[in-house]
Amino acid sequence: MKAVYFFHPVQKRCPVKKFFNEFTGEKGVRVLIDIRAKILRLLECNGLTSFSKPLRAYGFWEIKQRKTSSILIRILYFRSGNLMVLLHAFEKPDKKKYNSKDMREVEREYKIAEQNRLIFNKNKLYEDFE
Amino acid sequence: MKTLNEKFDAMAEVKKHKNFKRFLRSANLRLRLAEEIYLARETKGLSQQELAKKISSTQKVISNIENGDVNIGIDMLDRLSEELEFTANNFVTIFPHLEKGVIETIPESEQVEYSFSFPRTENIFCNIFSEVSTAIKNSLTFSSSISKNHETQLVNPM
Repeated sequence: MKAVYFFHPVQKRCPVKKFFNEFTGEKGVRVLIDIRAKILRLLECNGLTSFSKPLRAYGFWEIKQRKTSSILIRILYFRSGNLMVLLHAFEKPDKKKYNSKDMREVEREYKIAEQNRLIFNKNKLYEDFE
Repeated sequence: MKTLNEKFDAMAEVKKHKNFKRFLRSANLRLRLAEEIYLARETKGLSQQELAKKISSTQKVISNIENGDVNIGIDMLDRLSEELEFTANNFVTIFPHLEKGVIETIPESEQVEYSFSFPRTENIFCNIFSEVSTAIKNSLTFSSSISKNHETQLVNPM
């Protein structure tokens, strides 16, 4: 199995790659290395780890990563044949309780990932993760 | 179908960072610890909340550890490993460089079981080397005793 970035044919870019490209500085490097280690670990152990979980309502999985003490990162992916397709990534605040506005925001991100999954299944466009 | 669009790739660039190897090693260590704690907790049938309560911590801390997001202190490692009944094997999984030390100190009966589940070539080579060196030593002692006897016979033929 290998990891790939989903390529959006209309936006002409990979949303997850673009998301990663926005990380800068020493802290950004550490976060990217942590994410990289998680993705490679997922490839090694066929997707069963403590840091990723399935989102059954959507048919894809999420990798959980912390950016800072108050911001979390979620990377959404699904498996297509021997590919682990990185569909979408977003940040969300780390709170004890999420209000309805926060929940709507997260739902919106999941829907973007779901759309990306449908587009990928139609076009099968991707870029290699490495 | 593969495409080649964005030229800049931050994920590839991090490999050039001066501390890449050190940061990656640290990330992998945290992930191995995360998996060992997660598996041990699941095996014991504990929720994150229940485990947190047992070690006087919070569910959020356990969640962060199992996500591989935090470097835990030695005190937390002590409490977790005691509560989850970690064995030497758990620590060998987390810190693979300990493997050599563990195989040398665990009882012989357990070594057989251990080497069955994790074949260790270096251990096999150690055994072969030990056997070969003993054989050489024995043969040298034997030949030395023969030559001594021979000399004795030559000097004292009677």
